[in-house]
Amino acid sequence: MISLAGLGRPSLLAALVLAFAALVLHGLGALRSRKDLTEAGIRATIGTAVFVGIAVVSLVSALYVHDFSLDYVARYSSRSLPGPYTITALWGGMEGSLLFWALLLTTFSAVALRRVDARTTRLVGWAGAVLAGIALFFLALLVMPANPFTRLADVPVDGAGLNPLLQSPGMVIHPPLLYTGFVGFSIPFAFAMAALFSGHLDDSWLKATRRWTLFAWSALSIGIVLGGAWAYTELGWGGYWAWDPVENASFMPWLTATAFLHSVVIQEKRRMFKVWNVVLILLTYVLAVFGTFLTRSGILSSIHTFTEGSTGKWFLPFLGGMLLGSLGVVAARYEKLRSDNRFDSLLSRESAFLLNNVLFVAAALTVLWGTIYPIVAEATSGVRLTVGPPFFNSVFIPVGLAIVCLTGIGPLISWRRMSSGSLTRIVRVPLLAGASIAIALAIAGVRSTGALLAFSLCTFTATAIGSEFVRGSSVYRGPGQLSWPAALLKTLLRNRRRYGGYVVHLGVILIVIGLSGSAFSSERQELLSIGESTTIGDYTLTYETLRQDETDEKQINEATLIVSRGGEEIATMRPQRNFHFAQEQPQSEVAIRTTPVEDLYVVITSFDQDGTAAVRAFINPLTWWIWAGAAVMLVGMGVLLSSEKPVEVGAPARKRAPEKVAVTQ
Amino acid sequence: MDEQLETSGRRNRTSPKFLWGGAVIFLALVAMVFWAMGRTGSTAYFLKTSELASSGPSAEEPIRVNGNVVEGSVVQDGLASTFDITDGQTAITVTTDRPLPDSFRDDAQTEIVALGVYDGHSFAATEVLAKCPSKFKAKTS
Repeated sequence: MISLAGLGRPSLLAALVLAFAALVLHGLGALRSRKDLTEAGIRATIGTAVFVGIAVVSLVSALYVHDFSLDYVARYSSRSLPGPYTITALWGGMEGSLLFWALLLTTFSAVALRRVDARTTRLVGWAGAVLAGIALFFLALLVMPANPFTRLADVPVDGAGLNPLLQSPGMVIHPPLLYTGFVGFSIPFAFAMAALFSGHLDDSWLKATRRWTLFAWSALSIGIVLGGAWAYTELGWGGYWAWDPVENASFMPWLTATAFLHSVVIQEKRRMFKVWNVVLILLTYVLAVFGTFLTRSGILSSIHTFTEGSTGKWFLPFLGGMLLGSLGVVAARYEKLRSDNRFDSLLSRESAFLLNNVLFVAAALTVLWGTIYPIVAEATSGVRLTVGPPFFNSVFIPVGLAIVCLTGIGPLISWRRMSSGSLTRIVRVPLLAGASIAIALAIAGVRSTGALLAFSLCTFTATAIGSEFVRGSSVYRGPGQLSWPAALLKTLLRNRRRYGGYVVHLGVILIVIGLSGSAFSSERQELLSIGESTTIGDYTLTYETLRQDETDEKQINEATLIVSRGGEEIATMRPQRNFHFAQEQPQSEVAIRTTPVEDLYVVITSFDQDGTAAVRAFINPLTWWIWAGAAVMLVGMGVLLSSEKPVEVGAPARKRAPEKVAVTQ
Repeated sequence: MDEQLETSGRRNRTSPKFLWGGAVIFLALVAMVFWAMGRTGSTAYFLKTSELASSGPSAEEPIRVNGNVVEGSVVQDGLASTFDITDGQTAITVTTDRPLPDSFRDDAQTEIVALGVYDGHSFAATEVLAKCPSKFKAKTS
């Protein structure tokens, strides 16, 4: 394989020209309702994607053959970098990650726009124009301030190599998943804008993009969890989430997108919340781009940021323009976005959804406030300060528990109105379950009110979800009918949207149980010479031997620790503290013994000449449930995503409200 | 307007109880954010070493201080370490029993951010983070 680096920049320029052509063609096609122009615009969009693809291939080939004449390759890879991580270097730096963004954006656009028929020419046209406009911005960044194909005058013999922290399997998939999530929201955002521009204000834009929204949300969810898993296994401080600005940057769009996923149900079922839905997807997308900006601009310092400031002054006007422009369009169309129905009763499914939305959006705004407060404070009063985890935890524990509670009650409440008597009847069993868990835990010696509340609410909600499954599957449970597992499976598969959603909820509840476990973490630091022991909780750790080895890449120091409990040997753990040559930097490799009850987490923070190790050990109860919950969520997402065939743009409108399509076109 | 024709006869006003309910929930959430901002440890001042030295002891609230490591000042004794940082004007001694970050080095290039309390003489840190500046440079030799 040879370096195709020479193809990179010409392809990006070609992509830029094609994106501009797509913008013009789509715009004209939409303005004049010309199907031929819209179709030409789609071809230009596909062409853009192809050329961005060629640019990506050329950068990957340069990384693969160590073409250090490219500045990017010299900065983010080295000869000793193991093969699979060569690809990781594509998103290891700012320019490469923006190129990857552009690839996802143009590919998703091409796939999403394919279907046009006469009825939806304008919707597709406007969506294509919005997407081409966004692509144009990212391509301009790649051609000007963030060029990944900058040549070096002095070609180095070796590159600086990839940050060793990024050399982990989690880092191969975490950034692409986050980006897939961020970029995936481009599609619903573009179609929402297109609905406003074109006047197709029924729910055809929602139906056309429902799968994209779910797909982007799923990718973002799993990406966030994997980021936590990466932090937990690589960073060595014993936790998985630190409210770091970059973590927050991925969490904010997730919160608003979660609100959006729920509130679209109201629009579909009751044709309410139309303005709200447009605003939510707009907010989600602005936050997703803001997230990319935060990570890439170096405006906030964090372990993730690449301190390269030149793109910052491009992002802010783009973000500001996007926010103001789209809010302006919403305002202009406000009258046509009026709800077709109204609230009937406080005790109704609609109210529950509304409360869900208020809580999620409040949560997102809280994270935003905590993230940008240091910038605001410095700009307004010149005081430099930082916002720490205690702030976020103080808000998220009550808001999170309220959301857990609502997850349990919401699905039990009927649409429009419900008598409090029938609600009481339905929640009786879950309430009883939640209360008994709280009492049992209190008797067992749990004293933290927050934890008692968390476990009891999680039990309440899990029981409520369980009772929904039982109610749903009882129809298949007559004499001579299905067994319980078969009946449950049939229930799940017969109404995938509903029961798939419940499975996702169940996963979230398991994650909350895992998060609550962190209230009971303990930590211990000790200097151990070979042969010495220390204890944490009821574990005894004995430092048996030190093994030293060397590879091309690093010098390895590995301690063998024997773990025993009650005099019985239960595990051998091998934490490492290695020295990476390319970066001239030591790095710890954590050892974790994980069980559903608790994790024993051991990290060595330094070795002395004589082999004495500074051992830091943590006991993290229930952390296992976070990963288990994420797996359950993944199953639920699979069920949801398989729930329907791709919807043809415009087709649902024909079924539901033909007179309106006729009117709006 | 066509949409209004469809829904004519039903002006869609949200009833007052929803507005009140929404307002109460919203205000409660805003109040909670303010309450959370005021809690100990939620916000920490972020100072340079010279600002810290002139502001005096800070026993109550933890603060963050940043500066570059003074080369040759790092002393490690078991789990404890002591080193000096400076912003170019005033140097301050930092003591900590926490592990130093992987990218920490005994050279003036290493910029650190420490969280802790200052007693007027030394800064007792409960967390030390290091920023790694230009060390990911390609080798040109």
